[in-house]
Amino acid sequence: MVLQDNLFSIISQVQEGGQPAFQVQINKEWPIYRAHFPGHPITPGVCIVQMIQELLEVHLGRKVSLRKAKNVKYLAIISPEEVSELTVSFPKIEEQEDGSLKVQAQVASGETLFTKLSATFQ
Amino acid sequence: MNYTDINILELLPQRPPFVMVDHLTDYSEAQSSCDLTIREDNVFCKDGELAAAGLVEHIAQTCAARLGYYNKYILKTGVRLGFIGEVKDLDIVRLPRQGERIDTTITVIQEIFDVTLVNAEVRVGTEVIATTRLKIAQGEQSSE
Repeated sequence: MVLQDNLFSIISQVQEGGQPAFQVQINKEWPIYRAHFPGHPITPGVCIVQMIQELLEVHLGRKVSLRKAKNVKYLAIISPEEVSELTVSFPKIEEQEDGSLKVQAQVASGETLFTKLSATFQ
Repeated sequence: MNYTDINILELLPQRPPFVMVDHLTDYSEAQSSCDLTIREDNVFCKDGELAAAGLVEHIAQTCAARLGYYNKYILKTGVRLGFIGEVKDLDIVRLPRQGERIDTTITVIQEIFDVTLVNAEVRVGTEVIATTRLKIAQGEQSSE
């Protein structure tokens, strides 16, 4: 399941203090919202991680895979009925000696911070 | 009781195609297990593997099945919605491949009101392919 152009679409790609950031639109008609959960559409936490990964791939221009996560904190749920646009920013993308990438990412909307991720991609 | 005889949809608030466990295979308040066979039609199956997001969702739904069993068969109330609060120290040795069956055991570290903290281990046979620590929060009762 590819989430780009299903769960989300990219509105714009910007730089925030030299780091990449994306403005994305959430598609509330995404069929998975009817399964998670019936009558209570909520963006699955694991799909937020995959969205971060797909945006990282857009930024890098190549495929990556998640190997380790130090932590992913979900501070608030993302309801497609209440949130239509998100900002996904990458305060840190650091290449390691073995070629893996140490990444910090944040998902927010206005003043609300939804998700913070600190992980290693290969 | 043979837990595997329970229709997993009785225990989960998620519905197909977003169901990432096949059976509850063992249950106790302190430790529970679920299995999943990776099929081609799984929404997280990509290039013959279950994507990392699907693997973490499977672990989270193993927690959901344990809570669902407790709510439905012990408290005799309804299944409740659940959310991942935190994923910590996730280590994926490898992703499971199409056709493989994964067995996941969660061990409860702490349970305070509606928040459960667990350690999880995912195996293929005796090979450990992933470990993590998850925090799961329970919400309102499911509408189904």
